[in-house]
Amino acid sequence: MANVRALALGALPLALLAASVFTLDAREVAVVTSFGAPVRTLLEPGLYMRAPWPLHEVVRCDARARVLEVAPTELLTSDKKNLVVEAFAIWRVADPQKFLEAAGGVAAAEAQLGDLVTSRVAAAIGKVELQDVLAVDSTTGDLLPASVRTDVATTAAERFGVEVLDVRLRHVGLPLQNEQSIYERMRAERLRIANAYRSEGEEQATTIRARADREAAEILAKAEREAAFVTAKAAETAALRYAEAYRADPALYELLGALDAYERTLGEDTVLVLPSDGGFFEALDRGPE
Amino acid sequence: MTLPPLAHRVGTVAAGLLGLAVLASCVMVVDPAEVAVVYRFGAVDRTLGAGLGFRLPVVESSERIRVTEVRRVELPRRRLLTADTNLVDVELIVQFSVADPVLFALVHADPEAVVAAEVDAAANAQVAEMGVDALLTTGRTELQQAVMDAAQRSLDALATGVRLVAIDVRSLAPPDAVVNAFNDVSSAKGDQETTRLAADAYASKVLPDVRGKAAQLEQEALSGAAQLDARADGDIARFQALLPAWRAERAATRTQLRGELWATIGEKATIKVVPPGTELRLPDAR
Repeated sequence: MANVRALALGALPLALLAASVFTLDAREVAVVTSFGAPVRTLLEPGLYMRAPWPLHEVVRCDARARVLEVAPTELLTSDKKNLVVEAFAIWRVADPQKFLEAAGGVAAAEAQLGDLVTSRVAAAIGKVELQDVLAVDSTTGDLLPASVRTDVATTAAERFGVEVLDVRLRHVGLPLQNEQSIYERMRAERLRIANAYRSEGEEQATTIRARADREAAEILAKAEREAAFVTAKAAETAALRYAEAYRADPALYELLGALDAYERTLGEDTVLVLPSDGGFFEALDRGPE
Repeated sequence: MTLPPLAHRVGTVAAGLLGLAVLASCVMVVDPAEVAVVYRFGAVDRTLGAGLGFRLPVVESSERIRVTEVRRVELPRRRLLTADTNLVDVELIVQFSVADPVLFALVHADPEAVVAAEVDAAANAQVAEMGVDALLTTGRTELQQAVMDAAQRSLDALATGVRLVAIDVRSLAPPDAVVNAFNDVSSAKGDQETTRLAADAYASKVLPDVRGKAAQLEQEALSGAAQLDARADGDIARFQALLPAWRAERAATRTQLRGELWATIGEKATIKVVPPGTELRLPDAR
């Protein structure tokens, strides 16, 4: 019995110690409360002391960042174009005490944060025209201006102790009924481009044909000119030689010319009808004596 | 107080086994594909690479992260607005690996969801920067690269410990409702080419034809010239041949020539000699 009492006396401080020590994981933050009132906020992991239950309670929160997918919302741009916008926010608990007081839990915090993101995104998009919605902000590399992120981050930190790491648009689309008019425009534009290609083709073809025809005409004209030149040159040479012969003896030249003419007139079926006293052969009879 | 020998022995064995079990729980084997993150009292103490590692019981815990594995996220097909307010359907597949196991384990509850969201946002923004023609022709690679760069910057800024390996564009196409119109543009491009080729074919037939004709003309002119020359040769040779005789005795030469002419005429033609004053009736020319 004495042993049992000794054991109990030894176990009691051990149990007390076990109830007064706890560890906080690197993925958690916690608030130590005393009868519901916050006593300490713990942001760093490690081994901590506490008063045993029911004096102190440790309320833990997941400190890892979460992706909040905001439901697609239909918004109006300043030029009255409807857009369906899907945003997301990445957030984590930064101040567990404020977080637990203001939101109580992840679901409630995400509902509030979702509303905040939607309203800020709607305000930002309502201020600009569709073309500017589609322009990327150079500081964020995103379609949303940097001010939306800083605004959401400041407000969320103040209101429910949450750090917002990122807010972006994951999709900017059109309502289904508005897609039709875009399709009409896309079809018209494609038709224009297709027609342009086809008539460009015709234009090129006509140009190529016309050029070929012109080149052909030039080649032919040049050849004809050269041929005429060759013929003329030959005729000139021949004429000079004939002229030389003529100068040597005009009478013989004329006689031979006449003979030539007679010969050339004759064909296979030539019928020569000659009056017996005719002067057809006059050239032969006549002549310088 | 003395225990019976048997009980004593059992106690010794039990203590030994307990000791071994405690020792065994200290040793951990880390797979080559993994890194183990060791927490002491909840805080990150160290990481263990492949091989045998040691971990204190009770005060330390560990988590294994697969680091060599390439993870894959398939993003749903999106209908995105281009810079010229056309619509295109885009479907991406993301591959990533863990670059920093500690960040990967600690910072985000669901790193894959972060990767998906950031790549989605980057694709949305990049498509909004590009025109539909650029996107659908040469823009695929540019889109991949730009999305990868932008998403990686975001993931780094968010301390995800993730390294993107590849962004694959599984599909990038105009929506079904307008796909015919886009195909018509492609066939119009083809038509343009066909029309041009037909014209080229025409040109490459016409030009050689006409060159041939030109060569023919040239040859004809040359042969005509040669003929002219040859005839002049002949005529002049005959003239030269007759000249001495003619100069010596004209009448004899003329008589000789007349004889030759009559011989030729007799060979070729029919001769009718009629009395002077005979009326000639020529057959109708028709």
